[in-house]
Amino acid sequence: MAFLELKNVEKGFGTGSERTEILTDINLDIKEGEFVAIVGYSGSGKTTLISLIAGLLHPDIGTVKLEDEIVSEPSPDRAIVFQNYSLLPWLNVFENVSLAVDQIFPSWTPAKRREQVEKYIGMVNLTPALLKTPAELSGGMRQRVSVARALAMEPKILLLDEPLGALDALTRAVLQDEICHIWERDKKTVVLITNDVDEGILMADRIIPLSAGPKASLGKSIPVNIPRPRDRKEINNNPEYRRIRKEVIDYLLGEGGKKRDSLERALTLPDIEPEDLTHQPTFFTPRRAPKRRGEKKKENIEVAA
Amino acid sequence: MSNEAFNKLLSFLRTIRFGWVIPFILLARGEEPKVQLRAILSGVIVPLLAIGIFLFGWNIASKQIVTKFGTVPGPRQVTSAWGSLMNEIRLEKIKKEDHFRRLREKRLGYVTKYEAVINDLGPIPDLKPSPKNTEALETLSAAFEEIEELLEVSNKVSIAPDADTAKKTVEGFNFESSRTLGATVVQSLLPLELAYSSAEQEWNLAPKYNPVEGDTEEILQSKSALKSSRSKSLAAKKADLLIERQRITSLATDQSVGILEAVPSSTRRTLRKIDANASALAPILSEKLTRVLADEAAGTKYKNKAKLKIMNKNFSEKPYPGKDTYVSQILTSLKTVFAGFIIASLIAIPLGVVCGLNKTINNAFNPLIQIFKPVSPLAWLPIVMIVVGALYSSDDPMFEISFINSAITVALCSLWPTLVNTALGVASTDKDFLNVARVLKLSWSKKIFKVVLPAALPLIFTGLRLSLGVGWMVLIAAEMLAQNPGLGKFVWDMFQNGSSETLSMIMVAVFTIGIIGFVLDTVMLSLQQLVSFGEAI
Ligand SMILES: Nc1ncnc2c1ncn2[C@@H]1O[C@H](COP(=O)(O)OP(=O)(O)O)[C@@H](O)[C@H]1O
Ligand SMILES: [Mg+2]
Repeated sequence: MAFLELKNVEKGFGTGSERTEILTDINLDIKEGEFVAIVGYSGSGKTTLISLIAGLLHPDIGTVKLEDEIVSEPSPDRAIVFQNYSLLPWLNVFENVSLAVDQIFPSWTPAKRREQVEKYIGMVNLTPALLKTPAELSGGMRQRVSVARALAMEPKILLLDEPLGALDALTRAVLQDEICHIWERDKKTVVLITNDVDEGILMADRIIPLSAGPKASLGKSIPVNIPRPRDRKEINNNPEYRRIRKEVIDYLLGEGGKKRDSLERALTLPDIEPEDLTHQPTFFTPRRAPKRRGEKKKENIEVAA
Repeated sequence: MSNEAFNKLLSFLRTIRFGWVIPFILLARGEEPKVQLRAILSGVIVPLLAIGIFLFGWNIASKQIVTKFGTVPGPRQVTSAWGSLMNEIRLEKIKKEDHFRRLREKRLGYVTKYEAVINDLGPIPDLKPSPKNTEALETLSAAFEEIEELLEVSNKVSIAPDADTAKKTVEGFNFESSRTLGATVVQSLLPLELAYSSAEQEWNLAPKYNPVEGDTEEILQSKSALKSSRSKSLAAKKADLLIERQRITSLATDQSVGILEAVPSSTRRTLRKIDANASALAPILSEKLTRVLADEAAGTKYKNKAKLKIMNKNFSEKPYPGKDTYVSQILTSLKTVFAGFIIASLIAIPLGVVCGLNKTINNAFNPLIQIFKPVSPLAWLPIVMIVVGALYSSDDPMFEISFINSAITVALCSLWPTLVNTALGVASTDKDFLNVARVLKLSWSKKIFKVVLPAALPLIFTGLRLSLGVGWMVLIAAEMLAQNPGLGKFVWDMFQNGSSETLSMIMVAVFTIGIIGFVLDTVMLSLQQLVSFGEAI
């Protein structure tokens, strides 16, 4: 019996002529304790897929089941690390994590909850930044807080939506190792969404490509039989690694990439704090440029050669 | 100072609109003198120069225009108008101090007088202890203690250094107990009354020495002698008792009046309470008097006397009747604008949150908001005046009606920016934050207070800042028409009693209004900066 099971799932957005089918025919079985990576193009529907698992979205057709129970709403059982961290900027690191812990373990004593928060912040090596606000942290540190928040919820399954996508290569490598290290401790079930094939192979037990949208679907599941701990320098010479890598990329460029020319994306409007037009600039108060409140979202649409 | 702290200081200075001092600081630290000098030139010298040119131009232009009040005042006349306003304030302050000093002296006089009364009263009458009159004695002594205590309060009040302390002293005293004073005094009369009635009984039971048939002349003579001596001694006894009773009763009346007089002018409400107690005491006393005094006329006399005394001393203290000074007018304006601003915020923020959360409600309110938003305070005010006039009437209103009219008008005009911005802020809460709330299964209230409101806070404060600006602008017009004794009324009064100083005074008001508005805006801007958490993550 599968731990997490997606059966014939379909999901689209909009109605009538504006309707776009994003995901079709998604079937996925994940065993308990398994680390599964899903690799796909930007805009193919990876976030949509993980939102379906989290219960933030409902499938139009098909079912999502966790431990044989249909997923109908979000739950702390399925902790999700959002693509853009989603830390509350008015709370510091400690408060961000304890917001989750206090909500999920209301019966614990305050001391025990505090201990839980500190334990997981320690686990991601952020104890020195306990009282810093997200604005004072680097991207990598923010993502660590986000991971700590998810882990501190003690979920049944951990959903990671391109957790390292916005980081530079060096930070990325460090965090990959850190996450693997943490995972090895208690072998939680993990679904990792990524657009980096190497990252998937390095971290996961199994890697599944997602074809390009619209109507994206999962390709063949490829087990990664490389013993852990995996060394990122040596793994390049591992023939198994190169075989898996070739297979995934071949799928994404070939069979899985064919639909890309019909790719259609609705652009999310930029989220901007308006300029105060009633305010006349004076020598005391120069004009302030409009500020972007949300993070700039870069979605590259690659067109097939 | 660490570099980080220094940078924080600089950004704080910029926030409170003191950015122009930064080049001076940097210059003092020797950082790039050329750059700093250029910054000073453009940031300080040029604006100062502009102000200078403005003053010069004003000075020249003012002399050209002649109005019915003389030429338009130049900067110099306005400065001297400012000086005369300040002098007036100083004068008022001296007058006020003098008023309170005289009041204190008057009260001190009362206290000395009534302390003498108490001393005159001497010890409590020495009645023979018996089961009946021990009780009466106790109540009498309790009544005396109470009077002492009241006098002590008034004593403290009279030497209090200021009105506030006096007020606190009076408020600390339990005036409820003074209500029982009347009953207590009357009860203390009980033993006297008993003595009186026993004397009467004695009179009735005594041998009448009436002549009977067969009495000899001698017997008749002795009988009449006996009769007259008997009646004389009884009458004397009765008279003594009467006098004693009258003395105590009148003392009690005096004292209750004295208490009234000695109590300070601190709070009208407290005074009214005492007044009620004293008037409650009067009928009890007079009723008792009427009943027990054989002399009906004397009873009426006492009744009227007690009534008159209390009525004459009906304390209705007025607050210090000094006239409004410029400072008090500024304070009134500030009080009014903040009252209106708070009313507006209390309505706009919750309503804005509701509108931001629910698109349907937002659509429902939107046309109303758009229509009411541009309405001028001059249109609102008559409506407000009529409605408030109908709803809010009381003999002793806690707030002046002109204050309420102005505050509500300010609220009606300044509501909208907060409402619109709050709704916008709530509606544009980052979807990811809401997803976090969903995954954590936060309750509705937790979602609002821990996620939605903090996220909307920067925009809410933007709205509040705009609202306060609108409110301050609207206030002057509202005060002019509503006759609220603030800056608006000052301008109006100056305009009405046209004198040679009229125009200069109004210009002083213009600058005052401008500077206060600027300060309020800066305060709000700093608050707004304080709640925005840099770029969102
Ligand atoms: N709420 C929505 N309404 C309409 N279209 C959406 C919505 N969410 C996502 N999409 C569209 O679905 C497609 C897949 O998006 P997403 O799952 O975020 O892709 P990925 O995470 O793989 O980059 C995109 O074209 C996007 O524009
Ligand atoms: Mg995504």
